[in-house]
Amino acid sequence: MNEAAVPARSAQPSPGRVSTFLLDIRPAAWLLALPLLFMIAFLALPLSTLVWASLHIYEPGSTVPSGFSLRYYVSVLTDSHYLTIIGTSLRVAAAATVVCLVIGYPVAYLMAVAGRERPWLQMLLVVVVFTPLFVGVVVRAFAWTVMLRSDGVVNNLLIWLGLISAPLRLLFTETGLVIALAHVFLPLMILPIASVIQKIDPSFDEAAQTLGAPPFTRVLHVLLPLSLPGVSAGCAIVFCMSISAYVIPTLVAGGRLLVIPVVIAKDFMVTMNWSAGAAMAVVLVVLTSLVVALNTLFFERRARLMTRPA
Amino acid sequence: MAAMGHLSVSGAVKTYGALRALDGVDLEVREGEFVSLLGPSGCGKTTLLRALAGLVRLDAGRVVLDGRDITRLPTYQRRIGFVFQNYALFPHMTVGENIAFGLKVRGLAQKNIERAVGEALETVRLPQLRDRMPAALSGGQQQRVSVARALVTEPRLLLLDEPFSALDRQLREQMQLELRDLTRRLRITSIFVTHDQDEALVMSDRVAVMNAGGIDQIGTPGEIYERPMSKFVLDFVGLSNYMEGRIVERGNGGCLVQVGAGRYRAGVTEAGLDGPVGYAVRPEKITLRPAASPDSPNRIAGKVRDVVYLGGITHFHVDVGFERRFLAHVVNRIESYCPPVGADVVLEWRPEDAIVLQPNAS
Repeated sequence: MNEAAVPARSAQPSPGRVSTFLLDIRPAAWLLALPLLFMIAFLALPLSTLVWASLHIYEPGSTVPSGFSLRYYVSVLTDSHYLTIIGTSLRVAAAATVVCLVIGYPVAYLMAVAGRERPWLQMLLVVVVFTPLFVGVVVRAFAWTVMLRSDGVVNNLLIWLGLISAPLRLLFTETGLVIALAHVFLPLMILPIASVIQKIDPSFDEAAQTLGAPPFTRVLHVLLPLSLPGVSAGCAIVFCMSISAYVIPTLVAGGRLLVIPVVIAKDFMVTMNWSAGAAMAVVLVVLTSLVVALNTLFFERRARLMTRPA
Repeated sequence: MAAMGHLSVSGAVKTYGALRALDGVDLEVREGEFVSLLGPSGCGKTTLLRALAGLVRLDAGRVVLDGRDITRLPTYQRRIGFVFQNYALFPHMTVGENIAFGLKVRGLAQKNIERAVGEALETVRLPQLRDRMPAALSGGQQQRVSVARALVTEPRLLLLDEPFSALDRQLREQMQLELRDLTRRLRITSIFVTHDQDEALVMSDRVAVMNAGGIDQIGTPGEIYERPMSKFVLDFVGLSNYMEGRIVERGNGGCLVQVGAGRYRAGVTEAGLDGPVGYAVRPEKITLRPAASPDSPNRIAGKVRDVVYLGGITHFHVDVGFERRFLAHVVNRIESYCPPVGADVVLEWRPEDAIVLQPNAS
């Protein structure tokens, strides 16, 4: 039955209601069609191909699988070589996230609060924080390889400050990689935190002031808990970007420090072991999803307490 | 306990760009007194309150609390309580944690905090809500919790920024009486910002009527209503029948004011006033009569244009000529004279009930 027939049968109210409901929902559903197609074509299909590939054996050079096998997963999850790589990746991504949070939070706070009284300062901060995004990630990663060299800017500065006597080895190390990752992804930590802080009602801070709380106490007990949704979002984004970064580890850590994306690329393009690469890729997807899910679970519970009746 | 709380403000000035939000305000509040800052929005009442809390920094002037100059003291060292218009309960803390916050930051022992929080919840009659989150409370409950949170630290001064404006009328009236009783029982000095004249009259020991960054008049609710000293106060608090004229005679503890062709007697001399004056009578002071009584010094004849029945009282709108309309409020009792629309009536009032003031004083 089409909708045009409904008004003529207005004596029956309930089918009319159903039709109006359908009328209401249909345009919305159509709006979703395009993104849905896009997601199927560019996410669901490639991902299932990947999973399919990870479960089959390919002869080098052949695109037709020669048999089903779980052996790639077994080796990725038991072989100490792979486990070390996964461990390094998790450690580096976690460290980059923490560094971004520690550096980014005060900047985000300043950006959000400055907007209330000094718009020019906010503009300045926005420009400073976001202009690096306009420079390609390759350029920025390459710049770090120059700066992190033993005779580079970073080492020279540390020696000049008297903090160290001999140059540190930073290039090709986890430390160097964390520094580069943290720098590149810092804006992605600042943005969500700043936008959450900006929306916090200033009267909460004022209430804490009138109750006798000095500045540090207010940050710890009022600002920080209320800005957790932003922290959660920022951490999830930076962690995912860091653990799946390919260009930066390739340039800054070369082939000497292996992380998951570098290994995947090697499997696909050098050793032509597609199944192993695919298995590693699936493990990466599962790992990041798990971290994001845990993160969301942890913060969502708190957020729900704040907004919904107990 | 909060036995102290003497507040003295002098020459308080605050400007926002070209706007003078506070234009040299002086205010003296005694220990345990409940003072309302009453005025329309933009009159500076909230700015003054926030300056007392230290949330607004004054450009000039002094704030002295119990003999100590606190003008430059940061908010968190002032030992005040503040109740916000939107309550500002911390959404991530339970009711109990909200109330405990002020005690915790002062480093009280956990045992004492527990007891004080329990007592505070008893005071506002919400002991069962201790472990709820603020989002789960009704507006009235949030209001009570925010009062408890402000009072539990035993502040020397309680500041309230339109705390009832978000509540519906019935609840608002109940909360007004509750808060009044509470502050009286605890003998805590309180400053209360409102734009609602009824609320100010109900709650306050004294009312400060604010206008354009200054205090126009401060006095008991009775003084503010019966003896307004400016046209602004007269208009802002209650209704009135207002005319302009000049004093033509003084003596016998009163004066005679000429308005057009009529002459009306007032029971005040208003020595300071000369030349043009405003002459006003509150609507409930007017007696409606079918014909003039022989002994009334003030009367004016008119025709009833409109009758508005409000249950307890009836409003009569009476045309008195010269395009002027008088308003008379009559209590609905069996002996009251209640003329119909179109009736010719005489309005009378006693000289003691007349208000004489500067005509266009700000």
